[in-house]
Amino acid sequence: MVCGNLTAVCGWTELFDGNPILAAFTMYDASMVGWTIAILFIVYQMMLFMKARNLALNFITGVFFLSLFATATFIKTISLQVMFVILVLEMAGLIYLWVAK
Amino acid sequence: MNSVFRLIVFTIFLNIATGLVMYGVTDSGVYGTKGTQIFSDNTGNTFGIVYNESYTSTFVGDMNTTINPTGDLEDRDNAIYRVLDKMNLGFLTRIKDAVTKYLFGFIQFIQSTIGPYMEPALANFIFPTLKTVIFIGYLLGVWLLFTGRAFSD
Repeated sequence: MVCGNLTAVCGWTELFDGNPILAAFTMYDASMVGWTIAILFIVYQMMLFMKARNLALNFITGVFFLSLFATATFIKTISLQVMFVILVLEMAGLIYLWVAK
Repeated sequence: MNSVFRLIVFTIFLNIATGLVMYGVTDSGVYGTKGTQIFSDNTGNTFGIVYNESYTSTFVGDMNTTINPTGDLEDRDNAIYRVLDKMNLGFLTRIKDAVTKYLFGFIQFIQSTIGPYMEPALANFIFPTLKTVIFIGYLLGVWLLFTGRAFSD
């Protein structure tokens, strides 16, 4: 194959099967050692917070994201823990804004 | 509101939020089983944070126990005053023991989340230091409560 021993991490198999998105995901996921979903999640949450400044929107979209992908096989357990902390911080911030502000 | 009191309130809300997220966030059923709790105690996705009722035992159990004066009461004249003094002191001590568990909850949260990823020497240094800083903040907050003016005024 083109990549030699690196076929599995280059995503060529997925590309030749006609799955460009899965091929790109495989490539990024191999380079980020399984942290792609977590990094996407964190970047998305940061961008959303910087743009909208709306914790409730952040929390709800985070819950949507996790309820879709959290138990999928391509996500790492350790990255779930990072997302857990992010969600807890957002929820605590929300309760603080609702109650104590 | 003084910043340390905000921190106490935020710590309590962190506790509530942890329970809400652990029990409230479930799978949608697209890739997994619908209704499965993603962050429940037995999935191991909670950084070792376990949500149970035992944390309130110092408030619920120890506060209800009887306070006994230690030692003999040889001075019979002032016995009742000594008992009352010791009861008050014991009650204050128990409140202090219960509250200190909660006063540094924010540091413990940080410690249990990012602590395992740090070098043990650094973690053993940084978190007690943070607790000391927070403790100084609490002292300033208590000063504010007693005197009605900030320490820096």
